[in-house]
Amino acid sequence: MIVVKDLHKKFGSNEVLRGIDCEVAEKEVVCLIGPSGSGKSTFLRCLNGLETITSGTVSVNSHMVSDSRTDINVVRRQVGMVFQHFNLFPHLRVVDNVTLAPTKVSRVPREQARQKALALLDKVGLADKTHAYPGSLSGGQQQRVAIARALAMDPTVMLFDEPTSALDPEIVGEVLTVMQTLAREGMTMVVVTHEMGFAREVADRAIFMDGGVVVEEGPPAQVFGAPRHERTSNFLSKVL
Amino acid sequence: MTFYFGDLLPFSSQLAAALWVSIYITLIAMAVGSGFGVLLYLGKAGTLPVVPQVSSAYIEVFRNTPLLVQLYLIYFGLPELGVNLNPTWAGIVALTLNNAAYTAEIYRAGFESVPGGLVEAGRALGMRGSQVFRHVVFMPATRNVFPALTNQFILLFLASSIASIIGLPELMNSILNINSETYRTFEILAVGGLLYFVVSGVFALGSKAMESYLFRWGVRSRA
Repeated sequence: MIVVKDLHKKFGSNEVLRGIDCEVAEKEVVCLIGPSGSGKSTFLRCLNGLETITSGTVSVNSHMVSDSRTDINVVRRQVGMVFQHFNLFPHLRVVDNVTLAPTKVSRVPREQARQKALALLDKVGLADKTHAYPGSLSGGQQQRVAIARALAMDPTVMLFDEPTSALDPEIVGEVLTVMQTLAREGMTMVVVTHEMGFAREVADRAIFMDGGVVVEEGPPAQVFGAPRHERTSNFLSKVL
Repeated sequence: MTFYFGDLLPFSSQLAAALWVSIYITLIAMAVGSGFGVLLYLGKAGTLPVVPQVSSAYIEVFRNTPLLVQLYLIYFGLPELGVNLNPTWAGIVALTLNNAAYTAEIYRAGFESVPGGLVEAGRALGMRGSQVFRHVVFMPATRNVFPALTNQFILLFLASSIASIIGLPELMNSILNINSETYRTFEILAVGGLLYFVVSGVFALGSKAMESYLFRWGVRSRA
């Protein structure tokens, strides 16, 4: 479903990704872990073309993201993304945040989009907040709206870029629960996270990145339980 | 010294009509000029060839020359090129072109203050650049500069008095005419100044009301 080959990304002369090879299968949940500055988020952002790719190839659902002739908007319609800082549209009510892209991008009739939005908001536990503005919601509520907004496009893959890093510790759980439900329903997910508990419990595979390369990957039990590389165990000893 | 405001009474309907002219040329110049200003900003910030340079040059020329010079050039200069505008149209055109240059810069500040994350969220949902602009960025940007736009609007209203010089029958022009008929200089200027003051105040109040309605989703200090 996602195939990445020899991906390099430079910001000026700073090479942030130094040759990443990675495949994500349908319904797989992959967690990217690693120290900050290791290139996890940049890697994630290359998958939907938010970052331009310096060299190598990225394909998602057999669309070549790395090919400038590809209509990137076609890819993005199939790839949902959730950001660290939620990035809800502040001037739109919760329900309108969710219906905006379906009605404007996919031309779904307004009422149909609304029904779907209400169902999704119910799913993330915010049925009572449909007419609130994002500014009046807590961080955890905003992030759940952001998840519903991404799901409204019926994506085949969901990308999560540190979805709980900006949240107070006591509300991290409500967002993780929603993500866990998604994973159980068979959504293909790539998650950049510092929530090691989530990675260990929910992921099918954990990828440890450092210095712009994949240091080690495998089933979470193995990566967390018996890391093969010193860099991995050093990192884990600091965060666990 | 005695004041004779009573001498002005026969001119009240003339003043009212002139005030209305001032108001509507300001409204036209604000509406059209703001639209043009947003286009100028987009041209300046865009990546098309030549357009950014042309937009920048336009903005700088109109912001750095006196409105009076612009007005004279449009009213007395354009006929040399075969374009004859009556005073009203010359005034409207000058105020609109001038206002566009200022609102372009105000909007630049507004659009630059919108967090990049909002644009990315829009793009990540598959929206085209123009859709992101219209549906995602425009309202937060406008909210962020609404007080500056209000200020510009009031300045424009006051600056419209300059058009009296080419004979545009607006409030200042009427004040000067009444003065030369009655020689009640202090009285007519006091009344005229008060009219400008009151209408500016009404604009400011209207803007406040509009602000709290249009931007009820969030106060300015928040992203």
